[in-house]
Amino acid sequence: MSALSTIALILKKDILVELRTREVVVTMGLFALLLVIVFAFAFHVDMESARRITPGILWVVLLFSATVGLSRVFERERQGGCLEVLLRTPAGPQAVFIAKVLGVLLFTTVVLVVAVPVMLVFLQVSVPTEGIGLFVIALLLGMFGFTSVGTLVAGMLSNSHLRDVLLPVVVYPLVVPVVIGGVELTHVALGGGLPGEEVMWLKLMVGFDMLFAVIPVWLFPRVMVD
Amino acid sequence: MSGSTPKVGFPWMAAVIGLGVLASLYQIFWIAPSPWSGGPTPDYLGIDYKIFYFHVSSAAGALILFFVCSLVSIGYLVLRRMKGMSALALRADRLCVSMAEVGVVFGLCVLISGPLWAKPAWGTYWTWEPRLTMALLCEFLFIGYLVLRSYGGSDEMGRVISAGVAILGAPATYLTHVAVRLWGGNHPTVVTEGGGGLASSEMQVAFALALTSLGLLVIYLVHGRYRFHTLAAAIDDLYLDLDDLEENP
Repeated sequence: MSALSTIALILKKDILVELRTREVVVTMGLFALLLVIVFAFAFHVDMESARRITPGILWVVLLFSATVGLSRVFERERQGGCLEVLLRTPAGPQAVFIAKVLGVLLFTTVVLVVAVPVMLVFLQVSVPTEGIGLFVIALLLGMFGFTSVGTLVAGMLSNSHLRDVLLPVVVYPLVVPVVIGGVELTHVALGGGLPGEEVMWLKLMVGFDMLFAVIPVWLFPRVMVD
Repeated sequence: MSGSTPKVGFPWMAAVIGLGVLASLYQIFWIAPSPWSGGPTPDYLGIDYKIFYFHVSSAAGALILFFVCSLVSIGYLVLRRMKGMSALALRADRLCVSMAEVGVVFGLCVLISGPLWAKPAWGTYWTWEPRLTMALLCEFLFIGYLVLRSYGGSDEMGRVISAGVAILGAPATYLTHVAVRLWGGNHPTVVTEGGGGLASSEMQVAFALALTSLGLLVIYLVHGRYRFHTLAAAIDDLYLDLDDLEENP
């Protein structure tokens, strides 16, 4: 069985489980919407301030709700005791890792597709037409970096009894460079920032995403299999 | 007993470091020019700039410790799998913890001395300037590393996890070093322009003295912590042996 078909199988399994239980997307989505409401209450003053605070709120919502999703990535396998076995399949732990990252990316995307428009409505902010591309690119780059590092750390911590507490403590400092880039890019996409500023932040995010695509794939088999 | 136990930390080294620190303090406050001593320093460098010598030296120490910790962590993960290398891997791991611990302490020194200097120099204790942000981040990253060591378990799993975190932290450490060149900010680009604002040779001597004595202090402290971790592991092994003896006398 090739690595690609293993990836497809694990992904298919995760999607199937998700379609039947809906536990990850629904909890993530509800949590994201509640965060949006709380932030709107807490920070919304007027239309002008809303445009400035939206990038920050967007990325905090993304971070927090994705963390909820990450804490569930390996949970089913761990409870069923099949993580060890899954990692020892001929396709290798890297295939498992890639499948899991794709799964989390998919679920987070579904949540954001719902949560972001709601957030923009609640905060009374609209994305200018010329900024939509940048807005989506920033979200995708940020989500990828966070998901890749987060899935690795979630896997590493899956055997620790403090995993839910330690996950954000470890992941947030690691991904902050990506999040800073994301916040600044979103700011530019919404019509703020200096002209040409987006190139620098795009470079930062792409650079970190490349590191975060390579390092976790190298690390995962080395930290998960004894 | 696991591995060899280092006998004594160099007691003479403490004396050398103490002398070095005293010498650099003398050079900093009595020899290196101040605005009122008629030296070549520009007027805006008041007495407060003298914290620079220890601020920059601590920052260099902390960043190098963090970065080397990440590199040695890679070594640990690779050695762990190799036959006959497990003792060496354990040593690499103990070196990593020791460096992270000392690095966090020096990082705290940087984050305390920095704002103290920033208040007179920049007019504010804290600003979200690129290098400040990244330095704070590295500090949190390695505090997280130490938290992971304390609560994630001292077994193989805990060691492996924290090694993974240290490796993932390497880009952030490197970014702290290049943050000023990449994004500008209030920090001067000391490394690229050579010497920063150290116009006079007295100032350069003072900086070299401070850098050397703090560098020796870093080595001394890391060695001390390494020794501590080696002894702790040896005691753990002895306890395990004792348990075995009690069960199978």
